[in-house]
Amino acid sequence: MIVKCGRCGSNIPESNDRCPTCGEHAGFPNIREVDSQEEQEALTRRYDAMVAKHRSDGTSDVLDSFEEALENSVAVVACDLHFARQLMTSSKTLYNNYYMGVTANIRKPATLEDDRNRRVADSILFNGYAQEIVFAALSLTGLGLSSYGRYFMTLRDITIANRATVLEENSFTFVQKHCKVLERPPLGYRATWPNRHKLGVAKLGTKITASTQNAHFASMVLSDGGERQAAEFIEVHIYGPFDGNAVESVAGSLKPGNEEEEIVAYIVRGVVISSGKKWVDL
Amino acid sequence: MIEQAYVSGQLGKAVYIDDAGEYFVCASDAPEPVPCRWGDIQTLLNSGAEFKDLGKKLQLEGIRDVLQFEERAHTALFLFLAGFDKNLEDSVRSRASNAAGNMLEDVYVARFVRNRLLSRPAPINFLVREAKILPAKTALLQLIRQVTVAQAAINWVSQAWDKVAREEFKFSHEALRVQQFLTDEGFFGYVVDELCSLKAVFPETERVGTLVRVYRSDVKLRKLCPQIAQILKSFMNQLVFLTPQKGVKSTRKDALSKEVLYKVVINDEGRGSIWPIHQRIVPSWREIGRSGTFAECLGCFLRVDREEIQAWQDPQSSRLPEYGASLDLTVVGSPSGRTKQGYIASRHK
Repeated sequence: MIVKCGRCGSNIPESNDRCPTCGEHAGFPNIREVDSQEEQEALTRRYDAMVAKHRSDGTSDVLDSFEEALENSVAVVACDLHFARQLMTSSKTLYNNYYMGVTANIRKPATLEDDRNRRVADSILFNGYAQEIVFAALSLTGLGLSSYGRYFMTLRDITIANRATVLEENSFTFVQKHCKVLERPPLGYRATWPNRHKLGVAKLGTKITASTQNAHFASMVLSDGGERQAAEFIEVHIYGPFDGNAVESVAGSLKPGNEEEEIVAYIVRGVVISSGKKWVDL
Repeated sequence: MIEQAYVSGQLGKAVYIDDAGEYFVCASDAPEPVPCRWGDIQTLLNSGAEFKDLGKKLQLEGIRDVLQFEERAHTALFLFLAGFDKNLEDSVRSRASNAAGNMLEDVYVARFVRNRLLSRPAPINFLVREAKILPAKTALLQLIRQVTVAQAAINWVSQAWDKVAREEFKFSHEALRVQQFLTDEGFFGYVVDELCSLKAVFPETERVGTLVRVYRSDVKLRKLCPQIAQILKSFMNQLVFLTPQKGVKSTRKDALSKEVLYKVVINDEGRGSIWPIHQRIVPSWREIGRSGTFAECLGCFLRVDREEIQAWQDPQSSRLPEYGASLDLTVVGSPSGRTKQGYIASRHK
């Protein structure tokens, strides 16, 4: 969707975050796309249908609790100890787009075929701005996907609220299930960050029953599974990189391996705590 | 055939390009190369972490060797600096220092750490008195003493280089590339040593002049930076300008003496330095009214540092502790084809 620049009236392509003519900020492309009226209406229809179902089933209370939990959900990125150390002790270091794939303790390397598929998925979902998207996972606990690393960084809400969107599941899986080449992705499966609870309810509402306990919510939202293919989660798409100041808390092990790594982990914990952030021992 | 390779000791990763594609290697967790995805390499190079460009015609084993060394060397530097971080618990600082002490027993790691520490002023949280070090770690203690005493000289060298880098290079990444070469080949460390040595009396220091002549004829360095002779000449001129004038001895002995007096000066950019009390003030520098022995003047900087450290503890502060990066060189590159063996051999010259 092409929009007009508010300053000079030029057309701004949908993948641009700035006017190519005058440089005026045009909003983050992922937000512009997901915040469109048709996308919002489609999501609201799915959400309303789920709320109505629970009302008729008499399980509105449980759904309300679930929705409340989702409203407080966080974006979590996983990395290895090296990167956690670097990000937390150097303001020059940025967490970038594809870093997740590189930091991971990968035992089954991605094949070039996977890479091609991934690029196709990226181009369908993020037409022209895929390289700007940083991936995270929605979490209720601060724990993320361990197949990408054993140190989990929760991002401060204020640092992503205006540039993050959420997708119902892993983007690669989503495109495989729902998308066709040269067609736009179906509507109603993405939400802006403030509306993530609606997407969560629309996706997971069918799993909520009268017997569902609050303690079950976290694993419904994010099921790690240990391997990438087995993971079930809501994917967070953040436009642009972030530095260590965007991190609110870090969860990780203080016994990652050898003696030196253990000391490094303790130092990272100390730096995290002394800079006013929270550390969680795993 | 490997066409290009980059190593990051900080991230514990190497990436390389060969005929079949792009791959990365981890220092520890994944022994075999893993295919990169599209954009991985560029993204890593843009991550802000330090990378070393190993160039071409390498074997995978060579990359692994360099990666292991770089990872170990950066970890040693990180642990060394963490040993002085007042914000960390005593037990953590003690473990960090002693682990660094163990790693410094490797002469190449020790040289790397020393070269880094002598090339830039100490990070703002470098509080020597806070160190918790076992007396048995003599190599570590010696290094700490050396770095502490050399801070004024490091400041001069650093200021001289920064000015040259601004004036002589068109692009900052070129300056950083040369800076990294000079750092890791020990040039700045040697100059600092000479400034601190009993024999050094600027600007008549023959050994520093000889050192500059040696480096400016270095083939690798000339290939990396054809105008290196001019740059090193400018560097020398800046150094002469910043350091005590002819006839005023600035020596390690003086620095430790309680009789020789110094004054604290600051320039228009807010950079501080310690000059002999009688040295004339040159344009863009001013005195701040503090004088005393070298140690007292150094203490003046440390007091400023403590205030900065308190600022970190403010949760609202946007600052992060910097010791992971303060001695890093962000965009780096070294002459091509340097394996670990080449790296080591170059130090034996």
